[in-house]
Amino acid sequence: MIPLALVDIFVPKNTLLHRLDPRIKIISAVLLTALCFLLSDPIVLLVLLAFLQVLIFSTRVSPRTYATSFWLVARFSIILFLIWPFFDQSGTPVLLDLVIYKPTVPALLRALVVSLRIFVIASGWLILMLSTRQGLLVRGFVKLGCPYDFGISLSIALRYIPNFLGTIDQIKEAQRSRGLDVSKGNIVGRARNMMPVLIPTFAIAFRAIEGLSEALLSRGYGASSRRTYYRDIGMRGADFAVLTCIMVAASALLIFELTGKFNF
Amino acid sequence: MAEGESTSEKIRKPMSPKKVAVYGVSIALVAALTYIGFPITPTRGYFNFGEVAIFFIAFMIGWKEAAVCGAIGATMIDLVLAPFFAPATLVAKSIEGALAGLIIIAFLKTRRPTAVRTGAFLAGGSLMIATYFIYEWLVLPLGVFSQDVSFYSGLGPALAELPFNIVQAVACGAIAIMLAKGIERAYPRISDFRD
Repeated sequence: MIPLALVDIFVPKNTLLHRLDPRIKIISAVLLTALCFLLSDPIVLLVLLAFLQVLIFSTRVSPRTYATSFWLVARFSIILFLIWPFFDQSGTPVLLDLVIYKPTVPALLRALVVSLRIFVIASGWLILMLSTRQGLLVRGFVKLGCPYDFGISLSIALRYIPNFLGTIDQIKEAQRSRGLDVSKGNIVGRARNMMPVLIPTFAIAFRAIEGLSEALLSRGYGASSRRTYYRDIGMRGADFAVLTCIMVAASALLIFELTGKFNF
Repeated sequence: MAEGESTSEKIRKPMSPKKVAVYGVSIALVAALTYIGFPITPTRGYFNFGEVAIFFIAFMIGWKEAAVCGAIGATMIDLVLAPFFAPATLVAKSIEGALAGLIIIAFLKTRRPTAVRTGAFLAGGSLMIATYFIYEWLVLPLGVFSQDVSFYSGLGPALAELPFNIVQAVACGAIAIMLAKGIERAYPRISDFRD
């Protein structure tokens, strides 16, 4: 089971990345993801990945969180790298000839590109999640055009995720004390054993909706069409400077990719 | 105009408090159930119950809620655990929830809800599986194929994950149907949440 703390991996520090406007970080992560699908030069991707790792460590993330965050990414990349030569056997030199499994240097380079791409995308989003408080993240989305009532829903969701995970654990323990074992058996068996855990969880969730909607009404939600904010976020000079740097770097990478394409 | 207030916010009619709560709790439910699971798949890491919540919301609440909550809830967890899947998850879960919910609405008056729910999760689940398959096969390796490299080259990871995605969709769909029956009995007021 993945540790519960990973649902919110924000590192409460005061670094340059933490101080950046959340909109800049959201735009950068989206831009980086889009850019990754256009970049196919392993050297460019490697340089980009190294730079992103420096940024990740600048958030002062603990090695444990870092390792856990990249565990699934690394696992997927390794399997991708191993499976790739089954379907891609083009090019020479051939490193190993096992009839259906014939890894070649160009094919492995292609697998490397896809693996690096996965790591770069993961790193970009990890920086956003490590350096942005969840509340500010929602505020950033609202500032970027997401409707504010939907922003409230997002905040409620972020507040309730740990609650539901705790509730599920409690129900599991209670059912375990009655003799139910949800951790043994095959996939279907284990999935079926979750039923006595899921029914109370859903009933609790829908009761929570009723309570929440009453709480929202009693606090005057929707009473006024004029929307004001207790704490607002604003772009500063440093934010504009960082945004400019990101745009220039992205354009440079794209130009380098298009002109000096690595052929394999 | 107050600080932070935009014109679009001023003219737009906000959602009702109940709707806000439905979206909030449903997103949390999808995220929590996506987070819990057990390791089986070779590539994605674990079998999760997120689909149970998406199908359940499609069966009991509505297609829009299933699409939005499914997409946001599952993507939230993907952004932390496997961010490279986030673009695919956003699309896959939203069309899965929307299609399943639309089928339920189309056959709302039927006397055979189990058959309709089965059809709904099979249709929605198929679209989800197809989306992940195409993403892993063609989108992740985008740009690495050239004239002398067949685009079948990227099939490996997509094929490796396919059976596990099928098992996940079918198992979660079956659980969602049983769950819907159970909740209808245990909590009859659930019908008040439908649009």
